[in-house]
Amino acid sequence: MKFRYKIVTLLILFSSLFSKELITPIPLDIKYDKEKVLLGKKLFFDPRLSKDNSISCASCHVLDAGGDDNLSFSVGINGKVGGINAPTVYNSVFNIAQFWDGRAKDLQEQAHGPVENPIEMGENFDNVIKKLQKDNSLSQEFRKIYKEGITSNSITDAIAHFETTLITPNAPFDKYLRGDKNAIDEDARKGYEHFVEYGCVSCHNGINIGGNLFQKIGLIKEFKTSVKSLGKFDVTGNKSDMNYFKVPTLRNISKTAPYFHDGSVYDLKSAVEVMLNVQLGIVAPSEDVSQIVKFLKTLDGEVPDIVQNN
Amino acid sequence: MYKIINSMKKPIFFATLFLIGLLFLAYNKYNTKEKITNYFYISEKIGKIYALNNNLDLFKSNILDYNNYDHIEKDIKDIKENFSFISSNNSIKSTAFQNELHKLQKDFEKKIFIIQKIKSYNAILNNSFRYIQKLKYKIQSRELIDLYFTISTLDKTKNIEYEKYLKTIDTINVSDSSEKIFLAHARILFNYFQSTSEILEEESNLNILEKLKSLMNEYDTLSHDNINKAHILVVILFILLILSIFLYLYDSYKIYKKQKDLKKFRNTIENSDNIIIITDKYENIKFVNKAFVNNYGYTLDEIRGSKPSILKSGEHDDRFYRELHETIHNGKKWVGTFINLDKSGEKQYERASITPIFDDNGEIEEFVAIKLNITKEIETQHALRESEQIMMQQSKMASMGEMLSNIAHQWRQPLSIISTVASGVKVKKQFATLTDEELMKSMDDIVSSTEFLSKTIDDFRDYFKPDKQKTKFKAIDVVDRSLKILETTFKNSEIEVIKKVQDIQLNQLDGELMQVLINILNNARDILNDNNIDNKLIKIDVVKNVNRALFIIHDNGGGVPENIIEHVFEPYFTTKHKSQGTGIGLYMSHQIITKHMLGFISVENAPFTYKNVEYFGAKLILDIPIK
Repeated sequence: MKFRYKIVTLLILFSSLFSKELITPIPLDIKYDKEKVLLGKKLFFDPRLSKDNSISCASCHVLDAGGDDNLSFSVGINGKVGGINAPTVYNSVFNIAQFWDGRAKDLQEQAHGPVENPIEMGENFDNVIKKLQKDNSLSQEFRKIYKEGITSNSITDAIAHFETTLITPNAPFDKYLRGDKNAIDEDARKGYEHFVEYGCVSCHNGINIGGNLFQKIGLIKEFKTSVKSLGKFDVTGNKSDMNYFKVPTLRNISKTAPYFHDGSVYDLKSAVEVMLNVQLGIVAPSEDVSQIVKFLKTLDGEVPDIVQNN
Repeated sequence: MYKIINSMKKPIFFATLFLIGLLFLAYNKYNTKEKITNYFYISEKIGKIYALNNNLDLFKSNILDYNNYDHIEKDIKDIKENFSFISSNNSIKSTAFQNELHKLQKDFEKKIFIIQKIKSYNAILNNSFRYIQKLKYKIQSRELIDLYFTISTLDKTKNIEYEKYLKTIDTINVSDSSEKIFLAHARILFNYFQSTSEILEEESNLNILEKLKSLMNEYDTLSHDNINKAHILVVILFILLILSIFLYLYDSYKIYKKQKDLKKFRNTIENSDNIIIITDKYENIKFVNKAFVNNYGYTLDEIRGSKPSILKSGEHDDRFYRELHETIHNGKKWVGTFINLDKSGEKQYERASITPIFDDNGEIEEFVAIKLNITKEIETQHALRESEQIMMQQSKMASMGEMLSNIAHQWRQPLSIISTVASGVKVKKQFATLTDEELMKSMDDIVSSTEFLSKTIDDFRDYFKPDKQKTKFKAIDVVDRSLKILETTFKNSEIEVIKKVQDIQLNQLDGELMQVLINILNNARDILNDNNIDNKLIKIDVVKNVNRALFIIHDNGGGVPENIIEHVFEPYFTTKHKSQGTGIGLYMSHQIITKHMLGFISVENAPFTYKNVEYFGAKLILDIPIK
């Protein structure tokens, strides 16, 4: 084999060996296209995306409430109730795919979904475009950024751009990871040790502490739920994908109750216990669980400036 | 092609060729550089895929470990990006390579799918494996302990009969909750190890590493081929460039040589005594040489661009020029004589030839006129002609003098007869002795004498006839008339003429021929008299020789002295006493015979026999055409 191939291999190997950190902090700064982001922000809050002009993205992804709606199931137009818990929009850019079953490969593809979902916004893009085109200033803004003007593509692209900026850096645990040993307290540190020791980190790892893996729910014990979704199986039809859901992020977890894809658990401690029980067959001491919860609470980051300012 | 080369100036052609070559070389160098850059870029990408694939392999061989899946996802993303980069790069033309790449990309998609599965298996196996390590302290059952040992070596053992163990697990009865969980995890471990080994088997069947290596080799060969080709092309181009430089140098050398030759040629033309004029095809003067300038007084700058007609003297009519132009514009050479005027208006006579010069397409490109000034020769000719006329006149006057003395001789006798007869008649009448008979006789004598006088006048008139028209006459007539004129003097000198004349009809200038004959006969008589020859003879023979008549006049005067015989036909050459000879008689005879009658005249000293006696003297031969 060629010598230079060996060098490249070695370099990449070393880089992966030295970055054996299981959880990595969220970057403090990201680069983004400001015009697109601001347009996306407008659209994110724009109820004209729904059939009766009542619901916007922000209706279910409340940016002041952890990026979700704190309901088990979201309520769409005409009071229609959804079939699965709305995940947070925060840090969703770091997920390998979108939706619990991963049917959207990225944020833009995801943005299509709720608009045309009959029990969410119940609209179609043709109507949305017509409605938005009546808005002269918005039309102008679109044309300034997208030469094709208002299209389903430009709408979702702008929204996706906005969502890319919705990251929550500077969580105490991130500060801890960056070397500030006092950023989290003793209990939280112990909680993190338990988090690793019990094996939570096996699935919840990486920058988003989750979001980079599909895993079966109910490994050891059955996860009883009323929700019909069978996870990835609904997308692939593979039997082996039955009950495989995207592992959710644990960032801002204290703000995104209720938990699990069925939104069945409102209490974080209970959620941890359920996971330990169902996935690992463990009934952990209450103290350990509490410490894990304390650790989880250090994962609340700062809401980005873009949410507040224009 | 050759025509193009020719029509373009050669240096421009070479410069263009060189420039094109250079540009091509530069382009090729750039292209090659790009190719090489591309090669390194793409081989780096393939190398990256290779390394990233190693990472994935490293991950799948460590399934009992904590992992940050972000890294794996990043590796997967990088692999996809590298693939799409390579497949979007169109510098690789080989379809075989593209196909292989495409296949490998498909295999990688399968591998990525497998890796995704392994990720989730890894999380499960890692957790269960760790948990079972903790639980081993809480189990007592022999079966479970055995099971534990099997489990602890699961990741390092091959060909495990998972089904058998799973069945065994089903048969184990446990009551303890820890043992229950132990079993549950054991089941998970066997299940997922089985799934993992199956899926890893599937992955190893993809043979990705081998394919990747072969792709790398294929690409290396391909690139080296391309790079080698490019190198060869550059070398060839380089050689071509050098070759074109050599060609250029060779051509320059040839041009230099040609120019040198041309310069020589030009110098020759410049300094030629012949007048040389070069015009373009519209007859505008492009060049004249020094001889022209000297002859006409015009400088090249003055005359450049004007037409040669500026030199016209008006001596030639329009037809002359029309014929000239027709000849040369039809591509033929014209030769003739011009009378032109120089700058000061003096007439210039010249022999000229005008030659059209053709270009490569056979079109007339220019005309070259080469002329020789013959003004001096013409003037000399004129002068000669004038002096000849004067001499002619002189000779005529001289012969007239002779004639007059001849006439005087001829007339003396009849006049004395008339005088004697008339005085006899007068005396006899006075003495009255005149008979009628005597009177009649005397009158007849007087009439006869006057007739003779009149006849003599006629003879001389013929001789002085001024016209030079050819007339038809007989040889004998011209001989007789000449002798008639000389009759008296010949009688006085007691010269015997031996005449042998053939019957020849001539169409010639009889008066002039007579003049020559008389001149020669006079000369013969003078020689005979001067040399006091006893038996004076002049032999006249006229012989026909095909269509020529030979007049041979031979005397026995002893011949012309050998030292002067060559000069007798030269003008003003005479052996006679000054009072007698003008020195132009024989010269004029020569001129008349050769120039006017186109014949020959020669003189030699020769013997002849008459009545068995041999004589010696000058023999003049006139050889003239009958017509």
